[in-house]
Amino acid sequence: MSKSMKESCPCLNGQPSKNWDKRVQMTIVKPFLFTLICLSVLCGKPTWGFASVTMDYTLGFSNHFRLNTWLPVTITLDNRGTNIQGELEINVLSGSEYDRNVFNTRYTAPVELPKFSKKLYSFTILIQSFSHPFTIKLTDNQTSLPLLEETIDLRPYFTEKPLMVFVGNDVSIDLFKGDAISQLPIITQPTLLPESSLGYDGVSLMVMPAKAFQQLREPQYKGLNEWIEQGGHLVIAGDANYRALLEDRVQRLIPIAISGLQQVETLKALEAMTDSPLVAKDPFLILKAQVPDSQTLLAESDTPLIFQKKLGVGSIEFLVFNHQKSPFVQWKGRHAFWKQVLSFSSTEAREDVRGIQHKVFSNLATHLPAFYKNIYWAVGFLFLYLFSLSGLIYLYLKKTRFAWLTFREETFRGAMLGGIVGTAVVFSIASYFVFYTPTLNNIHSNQISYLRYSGQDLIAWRSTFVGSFSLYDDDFVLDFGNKVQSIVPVELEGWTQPNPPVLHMKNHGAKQILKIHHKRWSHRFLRIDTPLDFPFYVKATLATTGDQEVVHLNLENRSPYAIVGGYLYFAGHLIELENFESDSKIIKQFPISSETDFRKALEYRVSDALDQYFIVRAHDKYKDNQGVLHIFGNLRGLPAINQTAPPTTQPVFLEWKVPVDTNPSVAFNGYKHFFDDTKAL
Amino acid sequence: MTEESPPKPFEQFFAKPMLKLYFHSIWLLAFCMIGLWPDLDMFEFINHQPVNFLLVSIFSLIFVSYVALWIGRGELRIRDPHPYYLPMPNYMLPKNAVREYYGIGKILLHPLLLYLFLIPVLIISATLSATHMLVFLRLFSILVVTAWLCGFVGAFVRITCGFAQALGYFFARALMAVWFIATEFVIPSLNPIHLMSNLFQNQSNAPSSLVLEYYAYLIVCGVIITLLAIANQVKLKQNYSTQAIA
Repeated sequence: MSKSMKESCPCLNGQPSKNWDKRVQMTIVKPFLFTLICLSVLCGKPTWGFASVTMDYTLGFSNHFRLNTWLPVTITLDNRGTNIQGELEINVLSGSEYDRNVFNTRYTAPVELPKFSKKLYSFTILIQSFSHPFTIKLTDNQTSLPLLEETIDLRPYFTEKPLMVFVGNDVSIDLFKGDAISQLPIITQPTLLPESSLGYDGVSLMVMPAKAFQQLREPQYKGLNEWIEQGGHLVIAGDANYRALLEDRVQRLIPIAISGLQQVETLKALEAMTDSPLVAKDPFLILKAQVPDSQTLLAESDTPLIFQKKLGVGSIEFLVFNHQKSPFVQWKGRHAFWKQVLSFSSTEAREDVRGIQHKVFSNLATHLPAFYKNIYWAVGFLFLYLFSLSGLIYLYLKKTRFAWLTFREETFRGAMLGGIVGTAVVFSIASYFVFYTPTLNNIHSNQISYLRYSGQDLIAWRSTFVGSFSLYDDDFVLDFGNKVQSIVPVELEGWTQPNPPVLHMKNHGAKQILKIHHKRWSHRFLRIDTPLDFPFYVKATLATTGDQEVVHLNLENRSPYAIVGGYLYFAGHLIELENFESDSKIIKQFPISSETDFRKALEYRVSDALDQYFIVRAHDKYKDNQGVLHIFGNLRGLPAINQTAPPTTQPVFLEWKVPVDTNPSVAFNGYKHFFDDTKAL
Repeated sequence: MTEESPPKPFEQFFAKPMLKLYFHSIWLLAFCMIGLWPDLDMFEFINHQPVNFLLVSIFSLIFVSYVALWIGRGELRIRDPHPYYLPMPNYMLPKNAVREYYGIGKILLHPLLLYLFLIPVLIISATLSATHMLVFLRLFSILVVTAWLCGFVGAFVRITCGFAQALGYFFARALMAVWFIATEFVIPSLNPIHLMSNLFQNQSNAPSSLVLEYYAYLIVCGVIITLLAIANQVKLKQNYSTQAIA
């Protein structure tokens, strides 16, 4: 061992050295500490400089939803870290692996979360299958990496019963123990109610205290209003502290006038309604109220107990008592009471249009325009090409020099040669622009709207069946503005495809945008259900004039739309109707003849196959029914379903079911004006 | 042999038989395309794209490749009354014969010219199948490269076996049959029809393996063409040396 080694390594000498200590520090300790620090920074959970966000969600109403309906999803994001700009995404899988028609629907919304902030995001989604998991994901725009992702098994949350929603913080959870009812009672908070009317799709009845209205966000209040108008059923419970009932939001819905309180010991009317005695230990208070333009459904002597006010197609009931307080909380008749309340809803169940989907979409598909030019275009083009070439080839091969040409023969032949090649080049370019570029308008879509209207409900239901067909990989986009639409993808038997396109419903600010990415030669069918304000009025009576039965019909159109090419159908009779223009009236009467050939009249008068289908459908059901009259026709001037399109020119077929008064109290006497200009019938 | 005027540049390309060939190839292909014109309603094609373009491309592939093989083998008769005005190197010509050389450049250019006249028909048929332009270009590149390959195979057979011999005639066609048919059962990736069909069917979501197959095909053909061109040149020089010594 050398002397220098001994000197440099004091351990060999048995003596410590200051140089050795410094070297150890420089070469071992410091790098080790540095590495340790780096590792702890990378592997630890730092709270500075990185995103730290948590998510809380509610599915449906208190994590309950009805299958095959639209439901609200409320997500609260709490950001404890740096600013976040990203996208919140909900992925819903529908369909069946067995039928090989599984498809994905994505609902997204942009997220902007400053640091140390909390925001609530509300979605309205459709769940058609509980067997696929449901995913919520928050993605950072910059890194495209998921900041949060949660997969939820839907099995514990779904039900097939309609929901009976009780809103409030102090609803008793023991309320519905006992008798089973056909509805599923759910308790939820006001802040978790849907922001669109569509979110109430699975709800048959909602009971809400007046004070809950103040906790609603404006979109929630608007959505609730729309839901009632479109057929919803709301019950507002009164309370001794009735100040909340006088608030603007409640008054706008149901203008309750409270004159005071009344102390009672029992309510015989309720006992009679439910066959269950209402036993109160102490007297309790009920409200003395009046609601103009309403109907009293239940009264105790002269004191109304339950009012019903119609709002659009739906209704609001007002209870003058608080069902959450004694003696009602312990009342054994409360189950029967709510069963009765459910029956107060006068809204007719909406027709399920799924039965006609196949027919309508087949009709759409058969009317798909060809994307390529007619064969005669190709024949003409190629004929011109061959003719030009043959002429130039002939001139090129001709040996005789044209006397009038000053060119030498070789130059002439060279020119002809150039012409031959040039012709091929020119026709190649022309074929691209004449035949190929027009097909680059890849997405072809057409639609048929089917409008159902009953009596004079003032709201019609429009089901728009949309087919989109794509020749290339491309996106089909529909912009619905600020209206949340019920968009249901439809898979038809015999039309399934191995890789159905993904539906992407985007909440872009206040806009709803639907995007479907198509693969080549793929299609997508959608059904979009929307309510439509439809101020059409009607009165139909069946009277006997002499020995002839005559139907008298008075129609009034106060809408901006017109019904053209219309037909009346009544008990096997098909009669043409003149065009019914906007802001006009029709007064018509037609005799009922016993001799009528419906099929002949149908073939003679109605040429469109789909129109025939709807009329025959009505005939099969109502041919022997003189209590219902149908008006069929095509609507003109209807707005398009998407905001960016002009009023639709696509077919809109109306089926208007009119009840016929078969026992008019006053015999019809000539042209009597049935309508008051200031109000509807 | 009588003395004739010197050949003009690219005379074979625009000789009367060739011009007739171009003309006939156009109307034959057009006839094929019109015959396959989609007769069904549009909705019948949803999920079942029309294969018009694929069939027309395959027809043009076989046709042009055969013509390239035929020309490469020197079977083209372009001047009368001389029995065969062959594309052969100068040393093989009799003394005072007209000089003419059909070399690598012309073997590469001639199929391009053949396809130039067919492009309008190919584009119209691509429209019928809604074929993406990238896929069109890929299929077109397969058509061109395969025609080049057949041209060089023909020239190779001509140089090794000579022209106007039955052995060479059948040998050239057998090689073409091997390439178009036998490869389907042995190495499908090297079968141009198989590759074109796969590229056509998987336009939307072509897997990376398919794209790699496409590039591999081009590379393999390029390598074979290069080898054949080199072999041709070597053989020509050998023959030249033999002739010179003789």
